[in-house]
Amino acid sequence: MKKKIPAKMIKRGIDSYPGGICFFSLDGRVILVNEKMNRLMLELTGHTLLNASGIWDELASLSDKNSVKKLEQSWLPKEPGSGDARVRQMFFRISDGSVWRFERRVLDADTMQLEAAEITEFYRLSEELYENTLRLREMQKRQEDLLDSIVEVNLSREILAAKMQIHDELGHCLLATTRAAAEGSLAENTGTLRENWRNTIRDFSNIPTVRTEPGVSLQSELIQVAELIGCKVTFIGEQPTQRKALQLLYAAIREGLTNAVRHADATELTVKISPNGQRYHIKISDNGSLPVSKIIEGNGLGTLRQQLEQEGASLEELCDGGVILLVEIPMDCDGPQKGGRV
Amino acid sequence: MTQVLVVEDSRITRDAIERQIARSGEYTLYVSIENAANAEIACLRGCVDLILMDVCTAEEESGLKAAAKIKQYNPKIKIIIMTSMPEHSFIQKAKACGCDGFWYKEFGSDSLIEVCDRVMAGEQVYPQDTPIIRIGCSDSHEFTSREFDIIRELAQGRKYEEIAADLDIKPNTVKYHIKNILQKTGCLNTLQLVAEVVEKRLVLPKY
Repeated sequence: MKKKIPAKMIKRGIDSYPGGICFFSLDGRVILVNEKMNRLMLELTGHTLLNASGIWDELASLSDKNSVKKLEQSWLPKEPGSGDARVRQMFFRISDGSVWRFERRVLDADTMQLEAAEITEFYRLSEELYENTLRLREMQKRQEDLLDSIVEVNLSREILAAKMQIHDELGHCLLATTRAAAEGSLAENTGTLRENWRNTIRDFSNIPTVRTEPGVSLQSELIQVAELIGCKVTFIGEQPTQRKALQLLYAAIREGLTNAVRHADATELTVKISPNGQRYHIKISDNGSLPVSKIIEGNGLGTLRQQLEQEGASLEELCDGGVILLVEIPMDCDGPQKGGRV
Repeated sequence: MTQVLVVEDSRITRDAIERQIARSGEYTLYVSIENAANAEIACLRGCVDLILMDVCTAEEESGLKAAAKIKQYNPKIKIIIMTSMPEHSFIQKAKACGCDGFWYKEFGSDSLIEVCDRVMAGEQVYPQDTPIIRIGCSDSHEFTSREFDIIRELAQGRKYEEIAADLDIKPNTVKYHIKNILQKTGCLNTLQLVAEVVEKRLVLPKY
């Protein structure tokens, strides 16, 4: 059974809607508008809603007045679908302090809808959420810095503890010497006292005051250890200056050296580095005595490959009698890591 | 004589260890290095009998990871892990790597040479427990191992959903554990908790 609803009833119905609502045709002609929308438009533009297309442009170009402020923060609570070209949204704070979201939406081929919804509490919570996110981000950054520096802090603690111990030993020596002098037993305790002073002074002179440069210590220690096991490492070309690239280079050299000595009894390892464009080309070869026809990638090479690829570098193995490792490392791999979680 | 490889990046600690080795009469220093990643190379010619391995070494190389690699190819080499960090998981990790002993530089009463002697005699020498560290209103031994897992995940910046996926539990279970940890410690939020456990070196996710 069809029942015709009088226009008055429809109007009364939409007037009781707490937000503003307006239906209009594509040329902007108003079909139906409620009281709330007219009151909002009156406050924002100084007149009621006459042409909906015109009023949207008017809202878009509205400059801040004493009582009305257009809101454009990035964190504004946008409704899902706001990225859709058929949906447009704008936000305003009006004279009573309330915040309103205006949304224009295409309903069908002939009709559009303009809706105003009060989002004051939503806006306040969004602002709070945004501020908390910023604060959390800052705290997370501080936490990461703390994690990075904790080992360094610990090293300093160890050095401080050792210095305190030497301070105590120095005090002990002084006390023992003073006491021996006061008691007149200096001559008979000379040997013991001399030994104590010698040990303390030796400890004292061992306290490090200069830290070695990472690149220098990386190279010198590796060469020293390689020579200890009877393998000479020769570098040809200039080494990377970036810390991350250096770490990757030395990880590859270690793997090459380990395999060359363990499997081919090598006594020489040659590392040739040639920068090319944005990458370092590295060739690691050895003088291993055992011929190799095939490489089965085990844990060592597999882990190295993974480590290199995580940083945008690559690894290739060549079997040419001996084994040659070809490594490519990007020059900018000190930047943010690519993919994966840190 | 037992040939010892020392892996320690603090020069002053290394000197102290070298002096103890020299005085012992039983041990002789093979070489001292700063970077754990070079330890495997030093062992290649089979000259090393015992390694004294620090956990956090130069260039952020982990002594535990190096120990695991060495044990894979040289199971006969004895390894003693040394650390001044009270990190909860280090003992478990050292055991999992097949290390033979564990020595706290700043805690405990056993001397390093005593631990070396026992390890060389074939004993597995591990401390009874990690040092007890105060976190907020709670002692570290009051945390369950699952709670430690959660703290470790939080320290790596993981979100609740990621923690749940990593530990194969439900997000609500993660929330339940976090609530319990915060209640125990009196920390106001997880960031305060993480800052405290990391500052007191109870959790060091990198190693």
